[in-house]
Amino acid sequence: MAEQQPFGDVGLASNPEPRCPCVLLLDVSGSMAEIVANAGQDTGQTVQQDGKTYRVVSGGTTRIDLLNEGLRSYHADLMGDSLAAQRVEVSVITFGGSVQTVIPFVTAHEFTPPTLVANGETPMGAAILQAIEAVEERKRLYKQNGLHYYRPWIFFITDGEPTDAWQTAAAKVREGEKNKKFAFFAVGVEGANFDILRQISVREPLHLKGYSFREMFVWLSQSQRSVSHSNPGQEDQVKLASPAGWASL
Amino acid sequence: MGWTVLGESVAGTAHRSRKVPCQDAFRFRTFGLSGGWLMIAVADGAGSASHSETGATLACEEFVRRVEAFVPDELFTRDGMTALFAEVRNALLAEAERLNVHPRELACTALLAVVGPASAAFAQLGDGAIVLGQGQEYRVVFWPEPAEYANATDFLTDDSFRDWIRFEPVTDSITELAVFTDGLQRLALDFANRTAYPGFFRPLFSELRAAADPESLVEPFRSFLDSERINERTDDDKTLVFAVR
Repeated sequence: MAEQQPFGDVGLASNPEPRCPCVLLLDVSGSMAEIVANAGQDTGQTVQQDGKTYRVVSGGTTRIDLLNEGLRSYHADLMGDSLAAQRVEVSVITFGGSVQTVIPFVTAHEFTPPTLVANGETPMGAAILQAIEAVEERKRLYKQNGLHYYRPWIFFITDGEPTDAWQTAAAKVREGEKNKKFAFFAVGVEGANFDILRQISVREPLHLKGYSFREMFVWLSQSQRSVSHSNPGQEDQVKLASPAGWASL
Repeated sequence: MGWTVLGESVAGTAHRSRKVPCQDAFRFRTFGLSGGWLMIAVADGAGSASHSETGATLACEEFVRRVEAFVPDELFTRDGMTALFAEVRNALLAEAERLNVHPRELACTALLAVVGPASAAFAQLGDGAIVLGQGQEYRVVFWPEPAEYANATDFLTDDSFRDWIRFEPVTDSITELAVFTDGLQRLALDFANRTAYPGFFRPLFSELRAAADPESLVEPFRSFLDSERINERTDDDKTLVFAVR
């Protein structure tokens, strides 16, 4: 006769995990097509992109190639953490010419890293407003469905300066941070206008070292994992690893 | 008939991997004529506080020390319960001063159940829950309303602690109750229906009632709280104290 383990028949309720939402707000303007490694043959032609003149070469690794690779690393790292994979939700909003929600919020399981293409100018102001609205909308949905959630993150990456009006967006970022509606992180790639970034982001903008997108995205995943594992009492003090591996401070 | 009580705190897997001690605490005791009264105090130390396990443990010990002086009349009024919480809080503040740290470093939630022969008083500050068994039904005394974010809650050390105390007196004979911290919330409660999950509580109380020798359940209970099927759903500290009579 089999021995029943005491408490073996205690059932566990199934409830949805609390959500840890993160918007990846990514600059895909023309300058992100700049080749940064493995440049091929110079064709002799030039092209105007996003306010700059570029020589055209026959292939190479571009900024956006590295960004895309970074997104794949982000996904892989998240998936390695089963609790985070259930809790973290990602949305990808790009700005290059226009603002596009390439991926509306999905859990890490359903996230397929996109292959982004660079083109157009840099409507930073409109992009930030869209990201803030996306976060507010997501919270409304959570509340409607009785889901708990962590403070949302907006992770903003740019290599240039805004080609649209951005002051309203900056004011909304300040207001949102003050009221703890979200946490806004800004990363400037080589060529970004840090003076403007400092007026937009309450937190000190970080300067990407070289083109270490992959390291940055792995750091982001690990940070999201920390948040998603945190428990009451830790809201203000989630310990994030130092970004020194990818940001020059 | 007297009370049978079983309680345990197990450090969460996240705490063990960071070599942080269990920051939950609990105390219970029976008192009064023929041990007809039971009190259970449970506290969950704030994750970010440097002395949270001290705070949680001290809070439970102070509740135990002081509750008898408040019973029966005072504890059944909101003012009386608030006064008890204030005394326990003062002990935390005094300890913080002795340790030369900010009171915030001893922050913890507090759940208190005081049950007499035909009445009871319940109070809660912060998350976690108190569940009463009434026949086939289970009632959550205070439904855990989260602060906006999943990793935020109220603490006994907060200046506005009086505003955060939830209180309910009951004129009924309680025969089954459970008190637990938020590490078990999503496993013991049904959030879609805002109720206790009967599948969790029914077997728990049955097991305790049926045990000829409740002492023999101590080890299996600890194993259950630290089991894989629980740890794959939560990495927080888990405390559960439950009682039948």
